[in-house]
Amino acid sequence: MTRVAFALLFGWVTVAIVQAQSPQEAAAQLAARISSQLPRHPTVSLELRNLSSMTPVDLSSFGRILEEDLRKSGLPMTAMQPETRVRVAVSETARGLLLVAEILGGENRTVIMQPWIAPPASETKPRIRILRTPIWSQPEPVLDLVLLDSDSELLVLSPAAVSSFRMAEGKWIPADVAAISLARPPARDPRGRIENVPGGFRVYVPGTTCSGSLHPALRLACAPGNEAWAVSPREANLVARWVTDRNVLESPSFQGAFYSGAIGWFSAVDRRISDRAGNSLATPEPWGSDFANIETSCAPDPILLASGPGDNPGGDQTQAFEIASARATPVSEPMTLGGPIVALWPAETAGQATLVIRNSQTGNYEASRLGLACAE
Amino acid sequence: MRRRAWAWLALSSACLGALIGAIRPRYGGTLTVELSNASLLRDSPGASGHLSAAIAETLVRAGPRGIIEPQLAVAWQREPDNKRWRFSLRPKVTFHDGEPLNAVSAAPALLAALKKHYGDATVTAGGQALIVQFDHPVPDLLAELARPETAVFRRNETNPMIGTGPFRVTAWEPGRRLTLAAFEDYWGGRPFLDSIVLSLGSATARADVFDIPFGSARHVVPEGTRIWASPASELVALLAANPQSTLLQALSLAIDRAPIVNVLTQRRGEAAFGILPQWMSGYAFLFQTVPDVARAKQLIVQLRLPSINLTYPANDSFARSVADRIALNARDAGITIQPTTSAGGNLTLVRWPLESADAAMELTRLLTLLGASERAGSLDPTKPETLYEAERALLDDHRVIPLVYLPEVYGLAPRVHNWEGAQKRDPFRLNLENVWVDQ
Amino acid sequence: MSFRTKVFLSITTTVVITVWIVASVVSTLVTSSFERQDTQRTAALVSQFRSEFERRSAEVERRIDAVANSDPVQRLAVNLGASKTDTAQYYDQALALAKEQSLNFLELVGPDGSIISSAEWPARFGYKENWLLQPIDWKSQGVFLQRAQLADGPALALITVRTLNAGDGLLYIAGGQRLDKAFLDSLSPAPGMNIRLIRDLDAPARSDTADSKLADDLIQDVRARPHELSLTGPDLTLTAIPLLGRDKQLLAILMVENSRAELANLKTYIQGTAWIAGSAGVMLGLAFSFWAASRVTQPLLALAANVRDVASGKWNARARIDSTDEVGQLAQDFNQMTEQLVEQRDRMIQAERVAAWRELARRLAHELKNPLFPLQITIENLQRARQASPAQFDEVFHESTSTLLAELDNLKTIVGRFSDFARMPAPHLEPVDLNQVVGEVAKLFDAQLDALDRPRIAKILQLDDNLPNVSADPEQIRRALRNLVLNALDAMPKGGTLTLRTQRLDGPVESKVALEVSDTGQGLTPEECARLFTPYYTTKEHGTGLGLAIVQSVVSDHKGTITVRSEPGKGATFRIELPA
Repeated sequence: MTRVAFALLFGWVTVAIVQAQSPQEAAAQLAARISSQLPRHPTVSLELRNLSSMTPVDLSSFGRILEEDLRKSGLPMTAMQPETRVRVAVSETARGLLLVAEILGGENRTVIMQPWIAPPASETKPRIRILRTPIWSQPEPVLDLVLLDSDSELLVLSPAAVSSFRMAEGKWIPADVAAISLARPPARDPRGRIENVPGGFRVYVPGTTCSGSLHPALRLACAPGNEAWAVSPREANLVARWVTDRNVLESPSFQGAFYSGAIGWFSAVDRRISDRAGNSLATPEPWGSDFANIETSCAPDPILLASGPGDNPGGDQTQAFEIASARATPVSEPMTLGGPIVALWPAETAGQATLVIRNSQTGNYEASRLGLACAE
Repeated sequence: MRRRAWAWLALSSACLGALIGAIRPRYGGTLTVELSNASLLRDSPGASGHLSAAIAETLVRAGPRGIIEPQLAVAWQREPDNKRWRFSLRPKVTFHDGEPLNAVSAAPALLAALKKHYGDATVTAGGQALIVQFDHPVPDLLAELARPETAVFRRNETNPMIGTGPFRVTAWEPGRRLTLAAFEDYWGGRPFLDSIVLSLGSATARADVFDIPFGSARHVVPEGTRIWASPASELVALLAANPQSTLLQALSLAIDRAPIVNVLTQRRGEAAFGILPQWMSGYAFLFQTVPDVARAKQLIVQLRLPSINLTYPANDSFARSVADRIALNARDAGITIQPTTSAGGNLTLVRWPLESADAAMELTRLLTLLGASERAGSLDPTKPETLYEAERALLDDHRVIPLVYLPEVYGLAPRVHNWEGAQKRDPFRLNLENVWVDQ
Repeated sequence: MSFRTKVFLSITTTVVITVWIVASVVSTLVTSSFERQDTQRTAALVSQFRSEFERRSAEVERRIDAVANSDPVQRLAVNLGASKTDTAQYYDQALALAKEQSLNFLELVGPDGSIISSAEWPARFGYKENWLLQPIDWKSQGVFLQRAQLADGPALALITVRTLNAGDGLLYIAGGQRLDKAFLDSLSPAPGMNIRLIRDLDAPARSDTADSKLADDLIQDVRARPHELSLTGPDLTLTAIPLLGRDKQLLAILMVENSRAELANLKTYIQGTAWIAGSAGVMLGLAFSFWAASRVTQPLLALAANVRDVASGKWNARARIDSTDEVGQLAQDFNQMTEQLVEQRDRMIQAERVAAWRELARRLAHELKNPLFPLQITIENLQRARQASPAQFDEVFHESTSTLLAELDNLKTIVGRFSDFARMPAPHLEPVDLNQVVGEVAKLFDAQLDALDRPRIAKILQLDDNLPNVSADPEQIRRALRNLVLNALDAMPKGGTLTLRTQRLDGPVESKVALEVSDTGQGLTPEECARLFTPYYTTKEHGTGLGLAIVQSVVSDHKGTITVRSEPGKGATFRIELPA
């Protein structure tokens, strides 16, 4: 079972890595095909057209590369009265991008098509004091992750497995996978928590609790049940446990179920942010269901990093808030994310939080670490 | 909402998870759905397979990229001759009545479904493995097994459809109402909703989710309603009974699709110049033309124009509007077209639902519908040019004139969440298991 | 013309003329009355049409104002002004508004003239209605007629236009109601009237019937010069009222048809009645004429028959009429007359018989006297001779006996003539060619005509070549003809001309043959003519006077007639007509 799960996961990852082509690769291939249709090397003009979700920046870049490749293949490029016009459209299908080249010369018209799995588009770097460091990306959901051993080892929690990775040459190399013996089918909107404990780690998913160790090999022992765990490593008094088959927590510190809790505030299922006594924040719906407290020297009070309010299936945001007198005040610019937040937990390292989003474009789950830097 | 929509009530794999927003989904509540087409509720849940996707699942499913993904079957192998297939069933899957899913319990429904298409199919059950055997090669068996008609289900005296899907049938009034309840032990995770009530609705649009068919008065919706439109999932086109190339070419030049899209579909549709929509083929833009009434007039100046009847489906006000507009465009070019609901017209306005995101598979199916299945043999899914050439050849005959692509359009009450995200997974299925509501 | 016929004709003529006059007058009065009524009805209908038109126009204005003031339209105008609206969402707005306001036509048109929404032809969105862009105050135009384009062809509509400010431009609301059969049905034409609205003025003429040709002619006339015009045909009266559009162009024609069927029926009825009355009059006349005849004519005819009998010689004819009226009196007088005539005739016959006996006696005495005197002389001579000179007695005896024998022969001849006349035989009939007889008889007298001792008498023969044979006794005919010729010669002692003429007479019933003997003698007086055929009557100094009587007897035996035509000094013509 473990091997099957690993194979699946690896297979997905492998497929994802093999099919993707860089713009250079795609351009070179297309240029070669175009050039092969023009053995006499007439003068050529290139027109580019975007019918995809590619950003204008990326499109422009691709166009320059393609033009250069065409020139290198011996085609004289000109914008003035060319003998042949090459119109390239970056189109898109459900499976990915499609390059469509029309070669128009006199009465002739040749069409060349080339599928292109592009790598993820670059995100707009935030300009705020929230710092984001991508850690890992995979097609399967990432519920949480923990960095160990001076960030040389990585444990990634998925709904049905824990994967371990080793850092090598700046990349995380998959090391092992351990399946979680789930007592219940994974909850829809799967959530989970992995925490580093002395001698290993613990995994908490709704209906199942696991203990694991990494060395000498990744091992996991799971048992049905919902054990309590500290919501934040640095907030030991706030313990909670999962509700089986659900995506909510329950705690003696709060009346009712909640999605997240930190520094005495809880995001309840009725979408209010309430304290233990049930009092709501004065600011109605300042943020979404997920938040985590993050320590920073930039502010005296604890800061909460929270997901954006409302339904944002295409994209989400995270923003830092300061809570004082039952009022949440944003203390940073919102950081726009490329997809909805799937998980937002305080990290095992102080001053960091683990953020997992699902990229709306690629569908991959992208795990990052967030930190705060003071604005200049 | 057509029958195909009911094929859209499908499951999603827990492996891929639910697409959620900034607010976490909430478990519980009842989602009310009003549909304008009673035929969907008239079918027995298991009779046509249209309703089975939420209730019963197939061995495999077509993912958002058209790639076949595991569902009840987690692995499969095929013999080189494509006559023998072996499927490994997913473990720990139960039917709604608690009966475990294994090869023995799955085989009867699978065999019955396969027999409808393949008379020589045999299914052998062994533990968690199913062997499907044919006397002839069946290379596209996976595509067939992804269709809701091949869902695995059982039946007993009280329940006509006992499936493995995220929802189970609790009440069914044929043609009027279907009530589903969450299946707590669903292997992909219990759905967020406690229950779903699907009923034949009126134009008042009071339900949480209601379809907005084109041409209905439902495009005026209550305040706060969100409108969700799927990607283009239906092709509206003109089919000519007798190929009269010059006349049809003139007609094609006379038709201005922009007003049809902008007004009749309220900009929700998309002008169609090719058979497959742009999002599916990626090359549909190559077929784009602009209306040229002057050229159309030139083409027909020497022709003795016959009387042309354009047949459109009765009781379809959208089709009627399109037919009237086509007649008006044709009139500008000097061609007289009379819209009618009587069969046997020279032209027929057809509405073809698209069933798969796989361009090659879909084009093959449409070529077969058009009686041009011989052209399907040249299609190579890995070479989009072959699809383009096949479409080009078909369009050059002018026997089919694509007009517009239509999406499925739904109105969503404010309390409905994650609808949009849930539907991104599969453009041809409604994934209600990932939808949740305020309570 | 008989009395019955006269009575019949006079009654019939009176009745017919009276009936005809009455019928004509009534027909004329009825026609003019109908035409007056038609004119009044048409005027009433046109007035009703105009009232309905105005009423509908007011209604259209009110409803279009309601549309213009409705929330959706106001919102549209505001959004158009803000340039942020997608007009596509209003595509079916007009249909809903039109249904709400019961309008057949409603278009919402944007500032550039593009149709945003059309109720009557929803598919026309985006098309231009440039006529709305004219810089005129639409409200002041009120409601006007307009030809509207529909999917199934043009229609006539009562249209009004309202505008709303939409930013820098205007939102046009143009709508109204159809002027069609339903509109016409709201009018109440009288029975026999029909109203049509002719919208397609360019439709080809249908002249397959008189009525359709009339309508076509009327339409052409009104098209040439739009004005109210009426034409009357055999079956109906058409009145055309032109319906003009906003720019005074002819859009349609309201055709009011007044059927003349009722009038025609009435006229037919009148004619029929007149015919019946006339026929009854004729029958009445006939009946009356028969009655009158039976009362008047019959007795008169009977009387006339009696008169004819009398004329034909039946003097004892009695009129058997028993009425006591004038006709009866006439009959009595007739009978009395005939009695008197019979008596007179008998007396006359008696007198003529006595006269004839006297004439015969005279003639006989005259004839006999001549031969008797010589006889007497002779015998006396004999006596004297015996007594005087017995020697000369033998000579005297021989001479005297010769004279006695001669005079006895003469007496025998005279007696023979009388005997012949008394004993004329019945004719032996055979086909006789009269021309031949005439020729033979004429030849007999040639010598006499050419005799030198008398004045010359010319002979003329005028014989008809086509003379048919007659059934006659040729000998008797010759005898009669000889007698006539002799008489003619005797009538011309100083010479003259004898003409013998034959002639074919073709009558309606039978053919006859005429034989004429004409002389140029001294002629006869009418009295002589009347007594000419009396036996023994003669105008000659000698003769027995039996010649013409014999002729008459022969002619009578041959069932012919003989007449004489003469005037004193001008000769005489005897004409015998015999049946062929």
